[in-house]
Amino acid sequence: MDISLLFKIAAIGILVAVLYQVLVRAGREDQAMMTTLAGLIIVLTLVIKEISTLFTSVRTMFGL
Amino acid sequence: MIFFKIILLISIVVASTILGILFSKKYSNREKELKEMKSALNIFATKIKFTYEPIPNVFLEIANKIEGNVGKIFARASNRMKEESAGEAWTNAFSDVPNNLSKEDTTILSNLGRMLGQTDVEGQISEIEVVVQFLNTQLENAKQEKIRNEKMYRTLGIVGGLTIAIILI
Repeated sequence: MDISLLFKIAAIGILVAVLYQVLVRAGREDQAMMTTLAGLIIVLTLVIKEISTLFTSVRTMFGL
Repeated sequence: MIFFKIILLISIVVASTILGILFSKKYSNREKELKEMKSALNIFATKIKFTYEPIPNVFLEIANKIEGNVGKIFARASNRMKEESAGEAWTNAFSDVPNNLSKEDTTILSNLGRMLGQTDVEGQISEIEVVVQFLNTQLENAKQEKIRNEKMYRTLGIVGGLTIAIILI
C-alpha cells in the first residue's frame, strides 16, 4: 500500500471541510451537503481497491 | 514526466482560481452597473425636462458621460434609433451589449422602452422616476448578494482547484 494515499485522503478531508464551512456561511446548506457527499464518494473510490485486496487476503488466509 | 505533471496541476489550480474571481467579479460589476444606470437615467430625466433635444442626441451625450457597459448600451440604443422606434431600440440594446445586470433588472429597464417617445415629457419623467425607485431596491439586493456571494465564489474557486489537483496527483 502506498502511504501517499493516506495524505491524499487527509488533504481531501481538509478541503471538503473548508468548502462545507464556506458554503454554509453563504447560506447554501444543500450545496454544502452535496460537496460533503461528493468528497465521501471520491475517497471511497480511492480506497475501494485497498478494501478489495484486504478481503481477498482474508479469504486466502482462511482458505475460503 | 513529473515536471510535466506539476505544471499541469499548477495550471489547473490557477485556472480555477481565475474562474472563481471572474464569478465573484460579476456581483460587484452588477452593483456598479446598477449605480451607473441610475445616474444615467437621472441625467436623461433632467435632459428631457430642461432641453427639448431628440432622444438619440440625449442618449449619445449620456453615452459620452457614463463609462462601461451602461454607456455602451446608451450608445447602441442611440445608434439603433436611426432605423427603429425609440422603444424597440432601447429594448434591443440590452440584448446587444453584454452586461452583468440580472434578468429582472433588464425586464424592468426595457419596460421603460414602451414609454419612450410615446407620452409627453411629464409622463416619461414619472416613468423614469418609477424605474429609478425600482433600481434603488435592486441596488440594495445587489449589495446583499455581493456580500454573500463574492467571498464564497473566490474561496470556492481556490479550494475547488486544489481539490481537483489533489485528486489527480
